Amino acid sequence: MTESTATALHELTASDAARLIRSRHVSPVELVQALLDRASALDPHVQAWVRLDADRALEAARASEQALASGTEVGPLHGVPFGAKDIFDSAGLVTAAGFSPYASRVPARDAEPVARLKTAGAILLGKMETTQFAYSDPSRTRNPWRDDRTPGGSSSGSAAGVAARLIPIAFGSQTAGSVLRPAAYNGVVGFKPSYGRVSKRGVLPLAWSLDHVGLLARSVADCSLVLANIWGYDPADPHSDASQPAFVVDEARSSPPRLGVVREAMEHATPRLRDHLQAVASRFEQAGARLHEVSFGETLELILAVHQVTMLTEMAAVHWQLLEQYPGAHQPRLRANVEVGRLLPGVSYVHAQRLRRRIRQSLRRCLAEVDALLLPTAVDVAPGRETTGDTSLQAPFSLVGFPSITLPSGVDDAEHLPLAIQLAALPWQEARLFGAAAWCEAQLPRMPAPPLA
Amino acid sequence: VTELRRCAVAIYGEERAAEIRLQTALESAAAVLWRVNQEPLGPVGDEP
Repeated sequence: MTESTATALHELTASDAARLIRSRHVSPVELVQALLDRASALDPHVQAWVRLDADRALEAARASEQALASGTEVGPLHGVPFGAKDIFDSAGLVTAAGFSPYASRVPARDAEPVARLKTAGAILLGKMETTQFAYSDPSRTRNPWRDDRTPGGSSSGSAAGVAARLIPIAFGSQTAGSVLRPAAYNGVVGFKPSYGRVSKRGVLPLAWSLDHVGLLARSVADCSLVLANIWGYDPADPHSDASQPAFVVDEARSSPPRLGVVREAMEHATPRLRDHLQAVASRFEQAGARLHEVSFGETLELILAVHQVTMLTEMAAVHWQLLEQYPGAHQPRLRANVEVGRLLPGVSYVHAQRLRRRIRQSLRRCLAEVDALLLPTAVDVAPGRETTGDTSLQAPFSLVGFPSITLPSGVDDAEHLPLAIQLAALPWQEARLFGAAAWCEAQLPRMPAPPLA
Repeated sequence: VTELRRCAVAIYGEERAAEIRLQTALESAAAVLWRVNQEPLGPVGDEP
Protein backbone atom coordinates (compact mmCIF):
# COMPACT_ATOMS: atom_id res chain seq x y z
CA MET A 1 0.00 0.00 0.00
CA THR A 2 1.28 3.48 -0.84
CA GLU A 3 0.89 6.74 1.09
CA SER A 4 -2.15 7.64 -0.99
CA THR A 5 -3.99 4.56 0.27
CA ALA A 6 -3.38 4.97 3.98
CA THR A 7 -6.89 3.65 4.59
CA ALA A 8 -6.73 -0.03 5.49
CA LEU A 9 -7.63 -2.14 2.49
CA HIS A 10 -10.68 -3.64 4.17
CA GLU A 11 -12.07 -0.14 4.83
CA LEU A 12 -12.15 0.81 1.15
CA THR A 13 -15.53 1.29 -0.48
CA ALA A 14 -16.00 -0.30 -3.89
CA SER A 15 -15.75 3.09 -5.62
CA ASP A 16 -12.49 3.92 -3.83
CA ALA A 17 -11.07 0.48 -4.47
CA ALA A 18 -11.95 0.70 -8.18
CA ARG A 19 -10.28 4.10 -8.47
CA LEU A 20 -7.14 3.04 -6.59
CA ILE A 21 -6.82 -0.23 -8.50
CA ARG A 22 -7.18 1.58 -11.81
CA SER A 23 -4.48 4.09 -10.81
CA ARG A 24 -2.37 1.12 -9.63
CA HIS A 25 -2.16 2.40 -6.06
CA VAL A 26 -3.82 -0.78 -4.84
CA SER A 27 -3.13 -4.30 -6.02
CA PRO A 28 -6.24 -6.46 -6.56
CA VAL A 29 -4.24 -9.45 -5.29
CA GLU A 30 -3.38 -7.62 -2.06
CA LEU A 31 -6.98 -6.49 -1.66
CA VAL A 32 -8.39 -10.00 -2.13
CA GLN A 33 -5.77 -11.45 0.20
CA ALA A 34 -6.49 -8.78 2.84
CA LEU A 35 -10.19 -9.67 2.77
CA LEU A 36 -9.44 -13.40 2.96
CA ASP A 37 -7.17 -12.76 5.97
CA ARG A 38 -9.91 -10.67 7.58
CA ALA A 39 -12.42 -13.45 6.98
CA SER A 40 -10.07 -15.91 8.72
CA ALA A 41 -9.78 -13.57 11.69
CA LEU A 42 -13.38 -12.41 12.09
CA ASP A 43 -15.76 -14.69 10.29
CA PRO A 44 -15.63 -17.57 12.74
CA HIS A 45 -17.53 -15.13 14.95
CA VAL A 46 -19.64 -13.10 12.49
CA GLN A 47 -20.46 -16.06 10.21
CA ALA A 48 -21.31 -13.88 7.25
CA TRP A 49 -19.64 -16.12 4.68
CA VAL A 50 -21.17 -19.46 3.91
CA ARG A 51 -18.58 -20.33 1.28
CA LEU A 52 -15.41 -18.52 0.23
CA ASP A 53 -13.96 -19.14 -3.23
CA ALA A 54 -10.41 -18.18 -2.29
CA ASP A 55 -8.45 -19.95 -5.02
CA ARG A 56 -10.54 -18.68 -7.90
CA ALA A 57 -10.77 -15.18 -6.41
CA LEU A 58 -6.98 -14.99 -6.12
CA GLU A 59 -6.60 -16.34 -9.65
CA ALA A 60 -9.02 -13.68 -10.92
CA ALA A 61 -7.14 -11.01 -8.95
CA ARG A 62 -3.83 -12.05 -10.51
CA ALA A 63 -5.44 -11.86 -13.95
CA SER A 64 -6.77 -8.38 -13.07
CA GLU A 65 -3.31 -7.28 -12.08
CA GLN A 66 -1.80 -8.62 -15.28
CA ALA A 67 -4.45 -6.85 -17.36
CA LEU A 68 -3.54 -3.54 -15.74
CA ALA A 69 0.17 -4.18 -16.18
CA SER A 70 -0.30 -4.91 -19.87
CA GLY A 71 -2.42 -1.80 -20.42
CA THR A 72 -5.57 -3.74 -21.37
CA GLU A 73 -8.80 -1.74 -21.21
CA VAL A 74 -10.57 -2.64 -17.98
CA GLY A 75 -14.13 -2.41 -16.63
CA PRO A 76 -15.47 0.11 -14.09
CA LEU A 77 -15.21 -2.40 -11.22
CA HIS A 78 -11.94 -3.95 -12.28
CA GLY A 79 -10.40 -5.97 -9.47
CA VAL A 80 -13.07 -5.08 -6.88
CA PRO A 81 -14.20 -8.04 -4.73
CA PHE A 82 -17.88 -8.66 -4.06
CA GLY A 83 -20.05 -11.21 -2.29
CA ALA A 84 -23.38 -12.73 -3.29
CA LYS A 85 -26.17 -14.04 -1.09
CA ASP A 86 -26.34 -17.80 -1.41
CA ILE A 87 -29.50 -17.74 -3.52
CA PHE A 88 -27.55 -16.25 -6.46
CA ASP A 89 -26.26 -18.98 -8.75
CA SER A 90 -22.48 -19.05 -9.12
CA ALA A 91 -20.88 -21.08 -11.88
CA GLY A 92 -18.88 -23.98 -10.48
CA LEU A 93 -19.61 -23.00 -6.88
CA VAL A 94 -22.31 -24.54 -4.69
CA THR A 95 -25.47 -22.45 -4.33
CA ALA A 96 -27.58 -23.99 -1.58
CA ALA A 97 -29.97 -21.29 -0.25
CA GLY A 98 -29.59 -22.77 3.24
CA PHE A 99 -31.43 -25.90 2.04
CA SER A 100 -29.64 -29.16 2.87
CA PRO A 101 -30.85 -31.09 -0.23
CA TYR A 102 -29.03 -28.43 -2.28
CA ALA A 103 -25.71 -28.93 -0.46
CA SER A 104 -24.16 -30.32 -3.66
CA ARG A 105 -26.04 -28.11 -6.11
CA VAL A 106 -23.41 -26.59 -8.41
CA PRO A 107 -24.87 -24.26 -11.08
CA ALA A 108 -23.38 -24.29 -14.56
CA ARG A 109 -23.65 -20.52 -14.98
CA ASP A 110 -23.71 -17.39 -12.89
CA ALA A 111 -26.91 -15.58 -12.00
CA GLU A 112 -27.23 -12.66 -14.41
CA PRO A 113 -26.38 -9.91 -11.86
CA VAL A 114 -23.25 -11.86 -10.84
CA ALA A 115 -22.30 -12.32 -14.49
CA ARG A 116 -22.77 -8.63 -15.24
CA LEU A 117 -20.67 -7.55 -12.26
CA LYS A 118 -17.92 -9.94 -13.35
CA THR A 119 -18.11 -8.48 -16.86
CA ALA A 120 -17.49 -5.07 -15.25
CA GLY A 121 -14.29 -6.53 -13.78
CA ALA A 122 -15.43 -7.39 -10.26
CA ILE A 123 -14.26 -10.55 -8.48
CA LEU A 124 -16.65 -12.91 -6.68
CA LEU A 125 -15.02 -13.65 -3.31
CA GLY A 126 -17.71 -16.08 -2.18
CA LYS A 127 -21.26 -16.70 -1.09
CA MET A 128 -22.93 -15.09 1.90
CA GLU A 129 -25.29 -16.49 4.49
CA THR A 130 -29.00 -16.34 3.83
CA THR A 131 -32.01 -17.46 5.75
CA GLN A 132 -33.37 -20.57 4.08
CA PHE A 133 -34.71 -19.58 0.64
CA ALA A 134 -34.63 -15.95 1.79
CA TYR A 135 -37.56 -16.40 4.20
CA SER A 136 -37.72 -15.51 7.90
CA ASP A 137 -36.21 -18.43 9.85
CA PRO A 138 -33.11 -16.80 11.39
CA SER A 139 -29.68 -17.70 9.99
CA ARG A 140 -26.55 -18.35 12.07
CA THR A 141 -25.02 -14.93 11.22
CA ARG A 142 -24.30 -12.56 14.12
CA ASN A 143 -24.89 -8.83 14.19
CA PRO A 144 -21.37 -7.31 14.48
CA TRP A 145 -22.76 -4.58 16.72
CA ARG A 146 -24.22 -6.87 19.36
CA ASP A 147 -24.18 -10.65 19.65
CA ASP A 148 -27.59 -10.78 21.29
CA ARG A 149 -29.36 -9.01 18.40
CA THR A 150 -30.40 -10.21 14.98
CA PRO A 151 -28.47 -9.07 11.92
CA GLY A 152 -31.86 -9.11 10.24
CA GLY A 153 -32.73 -11.19 7.26
CA SER A 154 -32.92 -12.57 4.85
CA SER A 155 -29.71 -11.02 3.48
CA SER A 156 -28.07 -11.49 6.88
CA GLY A 157 -24.60 -12.49 5.70
CA SER A 158 -24.43 -9.75 3.08
CA ALA A 159 -25.36 -7.03 5.58
CA ALA A 160 -23.21 -8.25 8.47
CA GLY A 161 -20.30 -8.91 6.10
CA VAL A 162 -20.37 -5.41 4.63
CA ALA A 163 -20.70 -3.91 8.13
CA ALA A 164 -17.79 -5.96 9.50
CA ARG A 165 -15.60 -4.87 6.57
CA LEU A 166 -15.36 -8.43 5.26
CA ILE A 167 -16.41 -7.22 1.79
CA PRO A 168 -17.15 -3.76 0.35
CA ILE A 169 -20.32 -4.74 -1.57
CA ALA A 170 -22.61 -7.75 -1.62
CA PHE A 171 -25.76 -8.77 -3.44
CA GLY A 172 -28.88 -9.37 -1.40
CA SER A 173 -32.52 -9.82 -2.31
CA GLN A 174 -35.76 -8.34 -1.02
CA THR A 175 -39.27 -9.78 -1.12
CA ALA A 176 -40.61 -7.93 1.92
CA GLY A 177 -37.70 -6.09 3.57
CA SER A 178 -34.70 -8.39 3.24
CA VAL A 179 -32.18 -5.85 1.93
CA LEU A 180 -33.11 -2.61 3.63
CA ARG A 181 -33.87 -4.02 7.08
CA PRO A 182 -30.62 -5.98 7.58
CA ALA A 183 -28.75 -2.98 6.19
CA ALA A 184 -30.42 -0.79 8.82
CA TYR A 185 -29.73 -3.24 11.65
CA ASN A 186 -26.05 -3.48 10.69
CA GLY A 187 -25.40 0.19 9.97
CA VAL A 188 -24.77 0.00 6.22
CA VAL A 189 -26.40 1.25 3.03
CA GLY A 190 -29.00 -1.03 1.45
CA PHE A 191 -30.63 -0.43 -1.92
CA LYS A 192 -33.26 -2.11 -4.04
CA PRO A 193 -34.04 -0.86 -7.55
CA SER A 194 -37.39 -0.67 -9.36
CA TYR A 195 -39.06 -4.01 -10.03
CA GLY A 196 -37.90 -5.28 -13.42
CA ARG A 197 -34.77 -3.07 -13.47
CA VAL A 198 -32.25 -5.84 -12.69
CA SER A 199 -32.47 -9.36 -14.05
CA LYS A 200 -33.30 -12.17 -11.60
CA ARG A 201 -32.22 -14.96 -13.92
CA GLY A 202 -30.38 -17.52 -11.80
CA VAL A 203 -31.60 -16.09 -8.48
CA LEU A 204 -33.67 -18.65 -6.54
CA PRO A 205 -37.20 -17.29 -6.09
CA LEU A 206 -39.32 -16.83 -2.99
CA ALA A 207 -42.33 -14.94 -4.45
CA TRP A 208 -41.92 -13.97 -8.09
CA SER A 209 -43.85 -10.71 -8.28
CA LEU A 210 -42.22 -9.35 -5.11
CA ASP A 211 -38.61 -10.56 -5.39
CA HIS A 212 -36.02 -7.86 -6.11
CA VAL A 213 -32.24 -8.10 -6.47
CA GLY A 214 -30.63 -5.58 -4.10
CA LEU A 215 -27.27 -4.40 -2.86
CA LEU A 216 -25.53 -3.92 0.50
CA ALA A 217 -22.75 -1.34 0.48
CA ARG A 218 -21.10 1.38 2.56
CA SER A 219 -21.96 4.39 0.37
CA VAL A 220 -24.63 5.68 -1.96
CA ALA A 221 -21.95 6.06 -4.65
CA ASP A 222 -21.27 2.32 -4.51
CA CYS A 223 -24.95 1.53 -5.08
CA SER A 224 -24.98 3.82 -8.09
CA LEU A 225 -21.76 2.32 -9.46
CA VAL A 226 -23.09 -1.22 -9.17
CA LEU A 227 -26.52 -0.41 -10.62
CA ALA A 228 -24.84 1.29 -13.58
CA ASN A 229 -23.22 -2.05 -14.36
CA ILE A 230 -26.10 -4.48 -13.79
CA TRP A 231 -29.31 -2.72 -14.91
CA GLY A 232 -31.09 -3.48 -18.14
CA TYR A 233 -33.52 -5.75 -19.88
CA ASP A 234 -32.83 -9.47 -19.92
CA PRO A 235 -35.05 -11.41 -22.36
CA ALA A 236 -34.33 -14.61 -20.43
CA ASP A 237 -35.98 -13.22 -17.28
CA PRO A 238 -39.78 -12.96 -17.63
CA HIS A 239 -39.85 -10.30 -14.89
CA SER A 240 -37.29 -8.08 -16.57
CA ASP A 241 -38.87 -4.92 -18.03
CA ALA A 242 -38.17 -4.35 -21.72
CA SER A 243 -39.57 -0.81 -21.62
CA GLN A 244 -37.41 0.48 -18.78
CA PRO A 245 -35.69 3.82 -19.36
CA ALA A 246 -31.93 3.99 -19.15
CA PHE A 247 -30.28 4.42 -15.77
CA VAL A 248 -27.96 7.38 -16.12
CA VAL A 249 -25.66 8.25 -13.23
CA ASP A 250 -26.20 11.87 -12.21
CA GLU A 251 -23.11 12.87 -10.28
CA ALA A 252 -23.74 16.59 -10.64
CA ARG A 253 -26.76 16.86 -8.34
CA SER A 254 -26.00 18.52 -5.03
CA SER A 255 -29.05 20.70 -4.39
CA PRO A 256 -31.19 19.99 -1.32
CA PRO A 257 -34.09 17.66 -2.15
CA ARG A 258 -37.82 17.92 -1.52
CA LEU A 259 -38.71 15.14 0.89
CA GLY A 260 -42.10 13.78 1.92
CA VAL A 261 -42.25 12.51 5.49
CA VAL A 262 -44.76 9.65 5.48
CA ARG A 263 -47.41 10.04 8.17
CA GLU A 264 -48.42 6.37 8.35
CA ALA A 265 -44.81 5.27 8.81
CA MET A 266 -44.20 7.80 11.58
CA GLU A 267 -47.32 6.60 13.40
CA HIS A 268 -46.20 2.97 13.08
CA ALA A 269 -42.60 3.45 14.28
CA THR A 270 -41.59 3.22 17.92
CA PRO A 271 -41.12 6.54 19.78
CA ARG A 272 -37.36 5.97 19.57
CA LEU A 273 -37.35 5.82 15.77
CA ARG A 274 -40.01 8.52 15.41
CA ASP A 275 -37.95 10.92 17.51
CA HIS A 276 -34.82 10.00 15.60
CA LEU A 277 -36.45 10.60 12.23
CA GLN A 278 -37.82 13.94 13.39
CA ALA A 279 -34.34 14.98 14.52
CA VAL A 280 -32.83 13.91 11.20
CA ALA A 281 -35.60 15.68 9.26
CA SER A 282 -34.93 18.91 11.21
CA ARG A 283 -31.26 18.61 10.39
CA PHE A 284 -32.08 18.21 6.69
CA GLU A 285 -34.45 21.18 6.80
CA GLN A 286 -31.81 23.39 8.39
CA ALA A 287 -29.43 22.37 5.60
CA GLY A 288 -31.93 23.48 2.97
CA ALA A 289 -34.16 20.49 2.22
CA ARG A 290 -37.87 21.18 1.83
CA LEU A 291 -39.94 18.82 3.93
CA HIS A 292 -43.64 18.06 3.60
CA GLU A 293 -45.86 15.67 5.47
CA VAL A 294 -47.41 13.21 3.00
CA SER A 295 -49.72 10.22 3.24
CA PHE A 296 -49.60 6.84 1.50
CA GLY A 297 -53.27 7.41 0.76
CA GLU A 298 -53.99 3.89 1.99
CA THR A 299 -53.74 2.42 5.47
CA LEU A 300 -50.48 0.65 6.24
CA GLU A 301 -52.58 -2.25 7.53
CA LEU A 302 -54.14 -2.78 4.09
CA ILE A 303 -50.83 -2.40 2.27
CA LEU A 304 -49.26 -5.06 4.49
CA ALA A 305 -52.26 -7.38 4.20
CA VAL A 306 -52.10 -7.21 0.39
CA HIS A 307 -48.35 -7.86 0.54
CA GLN A 308 -48.83 -10.84 2.84
CA VAL A 309 -51.59 -12.50 0.80
CA THR A 310 -49.46 -12.06 -2.33
CA MET A 311 -46.32 -13.42 -0.70
CA LEU A 312 -47.97 -16.42 0.98
CA THR A 313 -49.72 -17.50 -2.22
CA GLU A 314 -46.65 -17.14 -4.43
CA MET A 315 -44.37 -18.80 -1.84
CA ALA A 316 -46.70 -21.77 -1.78
CA ALA A 317 -46.66 -21.94 -5.58
CA VAL A 318 -42.83 -21.83 -5.55
CA HIS A 319 -42.34 -24.35 -2.75
CA TRP A 320 -45.16 -26.87 -2.40
CA GLN A 321 -43.60 -29.42 -4.71
CA LEU A 322 -40.19 -29.10 -3.01
CA LEU A 323 -41.94 -29.55 0.32
CA GLU A 324 -43.36 -32.88 -0.85
CA GLN A 325 -40.13 -33.92 -2.55
CA TYR A 326 -37.95 -33.25 0.49
CA PRO A 327 -40.12 -33.69 3.59
CA GLY A 328 -38.48 -32.31 6.71
CA ALA A 329 -35.90 -30.21 4.85
CA HIS A 330 -37.66 -26.85 5.13
CA GLN A 331 -37.20 -24.60 8.17
CA PRO A 332 -40.28 -24.41 10.46
CA ARG A 333 -41.58 -20.93 9.58
CA LEU A 334 -41.08 -21.43 5.86
CA ARG A 335 -42.78 -24.83 5.97
CA ALA A 336 -45.77 -23.59 7.96
CA ASN A 337 -46.31 -20.55 5.77
CA VAL A 338 -45.99 -22.54 2.54
CA GLU A 339 -48.55 -24.99 3.90
CA VAL A 340 -50.89 -22.14 4.81
CA GLY A 341 -50.28 -20.31 1.53
CA ARG A 342 -51.57 -23.37 -0.30
CA LEU A 343 -54.90 -23.00 1.44
CA LEU A 344 -55.61 -19.40 0.44
CA PRO A 345 -58.41 -19.00 -2.14
CA GLY A 346 -57.43 -17.91 -5.65
CA VAL A 347 -60.09 -15.23 -5.67
CA SER A 348 -58.40 -13.56 -2.69
CA TYR A 349 -55.07 -13.51 -4.50
CA VAL A 350 -56.69 -11.86 -7.53
CA HIS A 351 -58.48 -9.36 -5.29
CA ALA A 352 -55.14 -8.59 -3.65
CA GLN A 353 -53.56 -7.91 -7.06
CA ARG A 354 -56.34 -5.48 -7.95
CA LEU A 355 -55.82 -3.71 -4.63
CA ARG A 356 -52.11 -3.72 -5.30
CA ARG A 357 -52.65 -1.70 -8.48
CA ARG A 358 -54.75 0.80 -6.53
CA ILE A 359 -52.06 1.07 -3.85
CA ARG A 360 -49.43 1.66 -6.53
CA GLN A 361 -51.46 4.59 -7.87
CA SER A 362 -51.88 5.98 -4.35
CA LEU A 363 -48.14 5.85 -3.72
CA ARG A 364 -47.49 7.53 -7.06
CA ARG A 365 -49.71 10.41 -5.94
CA CYS A 366 -47.86 10.48 -2.62
CA LEU A 367 -44.62 11.09 -4.54
CA ALA A 368 -46.01 13.61 -7.00
CA GLU A 369 -44.66 16.74 -5.32
CA VAL A 370 -41.40 15.45 -3.83
CA ASP A 371 -38.12 13.94 -4.95
CA ALA A 372 -38.32 11.12 -2.43
CA LEU A 373 -40.25 9.85 0.56
CA LEU A 374 -38.50 9.94 3.92
CA LEU A 375 -39.36 7.44 6.66
CA PRO A 376 -37.69 5.20 9.23
CA THR A 377 -36.29 2.06 7.63
CA ALA A 378 -37.39 -0.16 10.50
CA VAL A 379 -39.82 0.35 13.34
CA ASP A 380 -37.00 0.05 15.87
CA VAL A 381 -33.36 -0.99 16.30
CA ALA A 382 -32.39 -4.65 15.82
CA PRO A 383 -34.43 -6.98 18.06
CA GLY A 384 -33.30 -10.34 19.52
CA ARG A 385 -31.98 -13.30 17.54
CA GLU A 386 -35.23 -15.28 17.67
CA THR A 387 -36.54 -13.13 14.80
CA THR A 388 -35.21 -11.38 11.70
CA GLY A 389 -37.22 -8.27 12.56
CA ASP A 390 -40.31 -6.37 11.46
CA THR A 391 -40.82 -5.88 7.70
CA SER A 392 -43.68 -3.41 7.87
CA LEU A 393 -41.83 -0.24 6.80
CA GLN A 394 -39.86 -1.86 3.95
CA ALA A 395 -42.56 -4.10 2.48
CA PRO A 396 -44.72 -1.31 0.95
CA PHE A 397 -42.01 -0.56 -1.62
CA SER A 398 -41.49 -4.25 -2.40
CA LEU A 399 -45.23 -4.52 -3.02
CA VAL A 400 -45.36 -1.58 -5.46
CA GLY A 401 -41.90 -2.12 -6.96
CA PHE A 402 -40.59 1.40 -6.30
CA PRO A 403 -36.84 1.90 -5.69
CA SER A 404 -35.81 2.41 -2.06
CA ILE A 405 -32.59 2.95 -0.14
CA THR A 406 -31.60 2.97 3.53
CA LEU A 407 -28.83 5.10 5.02
CA PRO A 408 -27.24 4.64 8.44
CA SER A 409 -28.12 7.76 10.39
CA GLY A 410 -26.58 7.33 13.82
CA VAL A 411 -26.07 5.00 16.75
CA ASP A 412 -28.60 4.72 19.54
CA ASP A 413 -26.88 5.74 22.79
CA ALA A 414 -28.83 3.38 25.01
CA GLU A 415 -28.74 0.26 22.84
CA HIS A 416 -25.41 0.85 21.03
CA LEU A 417 -27.12 -0.18 17.80
CA PRO A 418 -27.42 1.52 14.39
CA LEU A 419 -30.34 3.77 13.46
CA ALA A 420 -31.42 4.26 9.86
CA ILE A 421 -33.58 6.33 7.54
CA GLN A 422 -35.23 5.21 4.34
CA LEU A 423 -35.85 7.06 1.07
CA ALA A 424 -38.09 5.87 -1.77
CA ALA A 425 -38.81 7.27 -5.23
CA LEU A 426 -41.00 6.68 -8.26
CA PRO A 427 -40.26 3.71 -10.55
CA TRP A 428 -37.19 4.13 -12.78
CA GLN A 429 -36.10 7.23 -10.88
CA GLU A 430 -33.06 5.63 -9.27
CA ALA A 431 -30.81 8.52 -10.35
CA ARG A 432 -33.13 10.99 -8.61
CA LEU A 433 -33.23 8.72 -5.54
CA PHE A 434 -29.42 8.49 -5.45
CA GLY A 435 -29.20 12.28 -5.83
CA ALA A 436 -31.42 12.80 -2.80
CA ALA A 437 -29.70 10.01 -0.87
CA ALA A 438 -26.21 11.36 -1.57
CA TRP A 439 -27.27 14.79 -0.34
CA CYS A 440 -28.75 13.24 2.83
CA GLU A 441 -25.66 11.07 3.31
CA ALA A 442 -23.51 14.21 3.27
CA GLN A 443 -25.60 15.78 6.08
CA LEU A 444 -25.43 12.72 8.34
CA PRO A 445 -22.61 11.87 10.75
CA ARG A 446 -20.10 9.36 9.42
CA MET A 447 -21.12 5.89 10.55
CA PRO A 448 -18.43 4.24 12.68
CA ALA A 449 -17.44 0.62 12.13
CA PRO A 450 -19.10 -1.82 14.52
CA PRO A 451 -17.14 -2.64 17.70
CA LEU A 452 -16.25 -6.10 16.41
CA ALA A 453 -14.60 -4.67 13.32
CA VAL B 1 -59.70 -19.00 10.53
CA THR B 2 -62.18 -21.83 11.07
CA GLU B 3 -62.39 -22.41 7.33
CA LEU B 4 -58.60 -22.38 6.96
CA ARG B 5 -58.26 -24.82 9.88
CA ARG B 6 -60.80 -27.14 8.27
CA CYS B 7 -58.78 -27.08 5.02
CA ALA B 8 -55.54 -27.67 6.94
CA VAL B 9 -56.99 -30.74 8.67
CA ALA B 10 -58.27 -32.10 5.35
CA ILE B 11 -54.94 -31.65 3.57
CA TYR B 12 -52.27 -32.09 6.25
CA GLY B 13 -54.09 -34.22 8.84
CA GLU B 14 -55.21 -33.48 12.40
CA GLU B 15 -51.79 -33.90 13.98
CA ARG B 16 -49.98 -31.42 11.73
CA ALA B 17 -52.90 -28.99 11.73
CA ALA B 18 -52.78 -28.89 15.54
CA GLU B 19 -49.08 -27.93 15.72
CA ILE B 20 -48.44 -24.50 17.20
CA ARG B 21 -46.34 -23.26 14.31
CA LEU B 22 -49.07 -24.05 11.79
CA GLN B 23 -51.76 -22.63 14.07
CA THR B 24 -49.87 -19.36 14.36
CA ALA B 25 -49.41 -19.15 10.59
CA LEU B 26 -53.10 -19.94 10.05
CA GLU B 27 -54.24 -17.21 12.42
CA SER B 28 -51.93 -14.66 10.85
CA ALA B 29 -53.05 -15.60 7.32
CA ALA B 30 -56.71 -15.50 8.31
CA ALA B 31 -56.28 -11.95 9.62
CA VAL B 32 -54.71 -10.62 6.41
CA LEU B 33 -57.13 -12.55 4.23
CA TRP B 34 -60.04 -11.04 6.12
CA ARG B 35 -58.55 -7.56 5.73
CA VAL B 36 -58.05 -7.96 1.97
CA ASN B 37 -61.51 -9.42 1.44
CA GLN B 38 -63.11 -6.58 3.43
CA GLU B 39 -61.72 -3.94 1.09
CA PRO B 40 -64.25 -2.92 -1.55
CA LEU B 41 -63.15 -2.30 -5.12
CA GLY B 42 -65.13 -0.72 -7.85
CA PRO B 43 -66.26 -0.06 -10.41
CA VAL B 44 -65.17 -3.38 -11.86
CA GLY B 45 -63.27 -2.85 -15.09
CA ASP B 46 -61.70 -5.32 -17.47
CA GLU B 47 -58.87 -6.32 -15.14
CA PRO B 48 -57.13 -8.56 -14.40
